[in-house]
Amino acid sequence: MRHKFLATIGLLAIVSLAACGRQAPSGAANSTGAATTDTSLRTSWGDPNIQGVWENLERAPLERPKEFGTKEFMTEQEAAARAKRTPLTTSGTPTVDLPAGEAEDVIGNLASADNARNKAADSLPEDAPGRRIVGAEYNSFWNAPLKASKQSLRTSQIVDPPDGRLPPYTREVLAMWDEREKERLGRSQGDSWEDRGLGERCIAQPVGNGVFLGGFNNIMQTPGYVVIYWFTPGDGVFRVVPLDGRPHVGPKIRGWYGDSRGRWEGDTLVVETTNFNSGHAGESLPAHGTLFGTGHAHNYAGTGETLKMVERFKRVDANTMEYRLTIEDPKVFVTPWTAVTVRNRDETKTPEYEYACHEHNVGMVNAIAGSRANRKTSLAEAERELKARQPGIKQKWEQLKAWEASHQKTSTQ
Amino acid sequence: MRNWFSRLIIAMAVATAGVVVLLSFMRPVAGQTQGPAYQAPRFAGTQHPDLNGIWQTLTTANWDIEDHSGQPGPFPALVGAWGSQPPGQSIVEGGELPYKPEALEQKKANYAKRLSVDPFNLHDSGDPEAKCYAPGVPRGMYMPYPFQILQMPSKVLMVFGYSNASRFIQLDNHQEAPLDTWMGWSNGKWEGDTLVVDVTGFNGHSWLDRAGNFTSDALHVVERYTPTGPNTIMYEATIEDPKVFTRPWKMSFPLYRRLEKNVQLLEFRCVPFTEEFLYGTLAKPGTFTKKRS
Repeated sequence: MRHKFLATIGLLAIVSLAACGRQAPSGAANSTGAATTDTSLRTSWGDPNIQGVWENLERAPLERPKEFGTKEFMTEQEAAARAKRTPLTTSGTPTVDLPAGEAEDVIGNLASADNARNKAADSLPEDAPGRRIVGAEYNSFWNAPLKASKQSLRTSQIVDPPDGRLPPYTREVLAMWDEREKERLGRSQGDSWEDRGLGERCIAQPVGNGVFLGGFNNIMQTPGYVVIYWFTPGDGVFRVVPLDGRPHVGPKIRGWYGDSRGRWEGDTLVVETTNFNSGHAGESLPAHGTLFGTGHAHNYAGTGETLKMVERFKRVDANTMEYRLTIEDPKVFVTPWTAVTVRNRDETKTPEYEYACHEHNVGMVNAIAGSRANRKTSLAEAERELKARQPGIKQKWEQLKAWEASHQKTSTQ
Repeated sequence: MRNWFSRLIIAMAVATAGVVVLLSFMRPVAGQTQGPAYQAPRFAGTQHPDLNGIWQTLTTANWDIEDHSGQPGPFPALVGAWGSQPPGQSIVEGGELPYKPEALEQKKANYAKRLSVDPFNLHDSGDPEAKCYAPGVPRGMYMPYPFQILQMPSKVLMVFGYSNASRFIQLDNHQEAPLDTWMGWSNGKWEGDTLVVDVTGFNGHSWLDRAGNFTSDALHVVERYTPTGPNTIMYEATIEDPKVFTRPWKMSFPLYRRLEKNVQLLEFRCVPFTEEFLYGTLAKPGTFTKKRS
């Protein structure tokens, strides 16, 4: 039954592998033979060849809408119905149902709210104070309908836990977010750079190589190394990954993108990354963006220092890669979790342009100068966003408490 | 038995003589900048040298590419000898840069204002290094930090720990610079064992060092990377910039391979170190530099 509908899409091998929930042998059998692992693909020095530009067009939500329960895949009818409801936009992966009666699709809500505000901004008279920004034009990029992509029938990117949803945040993280929200009281959107997120500051994008943000990978190989270039709507990041089995650097060496080690398991590249710094949580107090997993997140909400990230890059056929990410961070999530996305090879892209985010961050100057020039408006907007975050954080506390209660019950039985 | 022994002696004598003759050929001739051709290992599946590795210069050119004496840093009263300028010899052929008169004035002004930034004119105020900007070419090649060469059949990638900068050198996909950038657009080709890179498409905001030496958007750099031993590459660059200099000029210095066990490129993301420097005058006092968590 499941195979019947899967056979109609071009991602059969990946999906059926994932549906089995385990690694199957190369070229796992399927009736159409549509997608098999091409084991002849080797570099001139004999490594599996996973080089190329791999675009993350996966638009399954990170977390599974509750209506699907533990169902990993939807039917085509269900997919068509969902596609009609909300056009997907450029600005990222829809995450999860908003609590407190807000409609399910966060991105859709944001797009219409943004458009309303931008339209209002554009209708200001020419002699209004401050620097004039043509908001609707600038932001229309983010709210543009997404180009048609190869769409899997996944109900969520998260495949573990089996409900397809992020495990609860720890008390430590939620207490830190409560504290952060208190610190935000009385701060505008741009009193200083610390009111902007790490991405806007050109410091770091959320960890996870695009699972949270999209973008694409340019993977390059040379003997002994794989280079994973992640080109996001916010920055370009190189990870140079040694394959020689050397140990991680010492625990005192920390970085925004950590320290990566790679190895081949068959034709799958496995990259383990540790040695993250604590800055993903500790060094920003952003006015904009929510706690991850509650909507329009711009930051990875974690201490980072205990994070271990394991990524598996598996080329399924010439043009398709399965990317599997496991996040283990006991200080942040009560259990590890795993997400799976599909990446499509795209040779029409030329990502080898320079990405100079910080060098051209006039947006930061405008954000601070603009907030100072019109602090009243800026404070009001910051307060609006702060209030909008509250239900999400409350929901996360409830999720944790429910987990703790059931966990306690299980452990005392 | 004796026969065997004398044959061995003769063989050893012949071998020794051979080595001596070979060594006398290999000894560099006085005044010659490069030794005789060194045969570098080949990159897998190609006829070309393998330049892979982590490399770093030992010059002090990032302080000043011309001759310079030891000098105190900008804040000796605060930090003593930290941040002072180490002395060094010019990496410029002929020693001095052939500035146009007005460009020399600009260089002096750059130096005087090297640590002043105007947040509304970020690109053209202060030393780009102090702002954690991509260092440009050739400056990136002699920053006092390591960079990694990652070679592929169709391109060469250079990744710099400092400021997350990078360069792609296209070996196949030659084209005119499609846009202006900090690190330029690099078209490369092999001339024997030398990688020759033609770099254009600069945005004109880069400096050559902390001394205020600079280039414009008319900059054209031709670089030559020649392996001269298992752990050295001779770097030579011809700099042409008719807006700034009266004639093309050359620089050269060796790059050394980093040989420490398990040495790797480490993240040196300096952006957070610059925010107060760049935006501090705009921000509301008391709303920043509070370390959290």
